[in-house]
Amino acid sequence: MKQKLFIAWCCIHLLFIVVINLLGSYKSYHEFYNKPQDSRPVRLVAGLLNAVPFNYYGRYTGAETGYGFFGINVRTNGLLIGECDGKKLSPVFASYETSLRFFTMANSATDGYISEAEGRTPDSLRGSLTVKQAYDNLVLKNIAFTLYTKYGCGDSSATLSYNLLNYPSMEALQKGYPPKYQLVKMVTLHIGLH
Amino acid sequence: MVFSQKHIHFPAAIRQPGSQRLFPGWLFFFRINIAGFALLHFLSIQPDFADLYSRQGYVYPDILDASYDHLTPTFYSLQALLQQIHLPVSYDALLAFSRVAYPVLLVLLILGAGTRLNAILALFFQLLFCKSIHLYQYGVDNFTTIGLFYCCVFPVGSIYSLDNLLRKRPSLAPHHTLFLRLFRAHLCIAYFFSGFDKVLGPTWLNGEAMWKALHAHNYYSIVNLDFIPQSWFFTASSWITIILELGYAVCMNLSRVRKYWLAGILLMHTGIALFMGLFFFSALMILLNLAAYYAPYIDPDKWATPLLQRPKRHSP
Repeated sequence: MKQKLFIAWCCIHLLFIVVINLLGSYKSYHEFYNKPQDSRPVRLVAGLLNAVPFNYYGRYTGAETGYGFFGINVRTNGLLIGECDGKKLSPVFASYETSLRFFTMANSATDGYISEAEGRTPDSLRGSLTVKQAYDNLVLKNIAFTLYTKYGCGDSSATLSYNLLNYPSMEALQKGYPPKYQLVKMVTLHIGLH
Repeated sequence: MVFSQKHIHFPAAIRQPGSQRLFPGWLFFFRINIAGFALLHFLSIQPDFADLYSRQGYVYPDILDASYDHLTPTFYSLQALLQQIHLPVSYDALLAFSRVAYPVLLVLLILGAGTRLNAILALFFQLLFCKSIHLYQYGVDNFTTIGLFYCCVFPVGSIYSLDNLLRKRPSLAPHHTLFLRLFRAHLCIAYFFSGFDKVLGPTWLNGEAMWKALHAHNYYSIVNLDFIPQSWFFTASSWITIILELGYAVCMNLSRVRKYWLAGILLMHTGIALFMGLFFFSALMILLNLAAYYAPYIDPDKWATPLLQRPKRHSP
């Protein structure tokens, strides 16, 4: 009996993981090709999985997210660079792992801006882009404030910019573009410090 | 740690039908590697702990908390809850306590002491640490949650553990293959969808995504690949990645090709570590693959006799 119950749970657990992944793939595909996500069955299943018990289940089992790592496309990373009193400041961490986490956070705080610049809006942000951007602004201001407090800034205002780490595409390189990194400024915030 | 021979002998009776060559030692491998990995990963951020978690961090705890869904507690919400129930604990005290408790729980999990309870508590603290800085989290955190969750569900304390030493009748996980099948099925689904999402767009098929992953995703790449801009290399490695991932479910479960496919997967994750700088993510994926498809095939007879008791080879 115990074994049968366990097998039944295994089937439900695996089905949950499959459905979460199918929904993830559906969303990624439609966002990438900028197509409307208007399938009724998908909305029905997504609505069901958004129920509170499923949310808790997904969180505690680690099954809440899909596994489409680096698919459909690979996102370009970027750097947060502050400028104050003519000095360029960037966060410095003792651990490589923290730097990696900081990259992730900077990417998540600038996703809304980049999507808007590219003319596509992720479904998760549709209708709430301004709220998301207001929050992202707050996060970036917080980072700027900590950065300038930590490394010292004598000026009354400063800027913080998010710069994409651009590298020529394969095609461009074959056409003779120099293999050099370029920092492309995507977002610039002007912040009053006092 | 010393284990008597009775604890590491695998009677034929524990073998399940159809699993003549699968041994429950993988549960031990899984437990010590997941807990050991989580411990090392946690220790790796210690030099910058204050920058991530303290009130002087780059993003303050209340700002981080404002955009969180609160399905699990964060340090900020937990402290507020403790205040509400008249347990006035400061944020810093809660942080300091958790900073000690989590690694201690992981060490106990490695040793297999109070295994299930400690696994549940370790999962709670892992989610607490991870979700308190949810903007900073990436794939490795999710897989650590999965690993610790399976430590709660699987009988990982039933083999090579302090719990087993203290039991009068040590249990040797008689139904371990059921747990192994679930774990393998989870990995198969994960790899399939990882490959499936890649073939949905054109950039993985023409090699551009691989090119971008190795150049514009992270500039901490150990090996510079600028000397090979020819597209065939990146197109070929993209397709190899896709084939490895899409074929994982079938080929990892065919005994004839398993070891070659496993070697391919391990090489792929080593590449991700070296060229994309995702060291911890790659290490965890390698450990999960070894636990699922290598450890169950380790011949326990080789380990049944302690090294010191093995007959010495005499030179002629």
